[in-house]
Amino acid sequence: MSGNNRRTLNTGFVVTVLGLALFVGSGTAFAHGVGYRRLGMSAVALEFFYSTGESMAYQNARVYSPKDGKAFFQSGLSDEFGRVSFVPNIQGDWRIMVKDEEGHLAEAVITVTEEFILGSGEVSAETAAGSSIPMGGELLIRALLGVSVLFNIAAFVRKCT
Amino acid sequence: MHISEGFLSVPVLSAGWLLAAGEVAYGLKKTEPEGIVRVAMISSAFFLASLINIRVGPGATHLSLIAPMGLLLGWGAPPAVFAALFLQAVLFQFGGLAVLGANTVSMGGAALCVYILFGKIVRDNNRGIQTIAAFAAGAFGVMMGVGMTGLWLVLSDRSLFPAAWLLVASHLPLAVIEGIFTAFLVIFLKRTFPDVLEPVRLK
Repeated sequence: MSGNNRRTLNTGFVVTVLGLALFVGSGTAFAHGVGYRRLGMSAVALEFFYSTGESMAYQNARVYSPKDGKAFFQSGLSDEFGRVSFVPNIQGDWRIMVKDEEGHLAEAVITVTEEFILGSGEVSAETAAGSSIPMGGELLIRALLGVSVLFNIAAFVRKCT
Repeated sequence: MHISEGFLSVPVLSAGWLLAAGEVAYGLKKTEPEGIVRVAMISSAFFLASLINIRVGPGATHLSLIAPMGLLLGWGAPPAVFAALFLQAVLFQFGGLAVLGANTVSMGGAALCVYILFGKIVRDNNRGIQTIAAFAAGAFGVMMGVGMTGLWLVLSDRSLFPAAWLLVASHLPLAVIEGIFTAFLVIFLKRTFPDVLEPVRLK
């Protein structure tokens, strides 16, 4: 074998190895790449608000799956209008909690049916329990009750001392 | 500013209850029977204030009324805070019953500190100093209350330190609002009902 032929073989070997390395490398790069696709799945969307009607905007929100009531399925913040949405993957009672920094906690339990997940039902998720904060007339009654209790406690303490 | 159920450890909850019991019992002992009605009235305002939300930046908050409670009730503040927080927990699900002790110490203790540090300055000086002192009292009350809340969280779990720090920082706008509110309240009361600024008479 002449010197020229050996050089050509060596060059061919180097090019092959480099090509292989580039192929493997590019494969690795694709494996770490990101992408997205649009889903046609049904999502549950809820709006959380204060008793005064103001939305619970940008507050901590957690979604708990029926499968695991302790580890959250989804965590994040409610949007500008106090809305939280998620895509349930199994049927059952899903718990959604929104809590602000003042300790106000709104909790909803949504019953998701199999039809809802499959997308065949228009309204298949229904609210089983609403906000933990009383609303409207009930709120007024509770507020008045609270004030009444405070004055009654004062009257009792005054009588005892 | 309320700590919700589930955040505090059992030793911290116990310490909270112990301190709150002492604070409330001593407060009741020091308060004259004639002052009890005023305690109930201010306690009612504190109880109802939690229902009125103010939008601050992206979130919402409500007036804590810690400084007005301290300035108007003195030692009567801790019992007033305890009763109001109990009713907020039972009727509105704000905070909780297990954390009632810790919340009482945070807010009642802050109100008491406002009374001790600013009470005399707000009562006995000219209008300019009174206004500045009232603003400082309002801001201090909020920051001390939220600082103690953060302390309870960190004592329960060191990993909650960033959350506690964020809680304190997020209350800065409320501290300013509450300072302005307290200053206006003091000016108004000085003009109309100056006697009200005398705290509940002590035994």
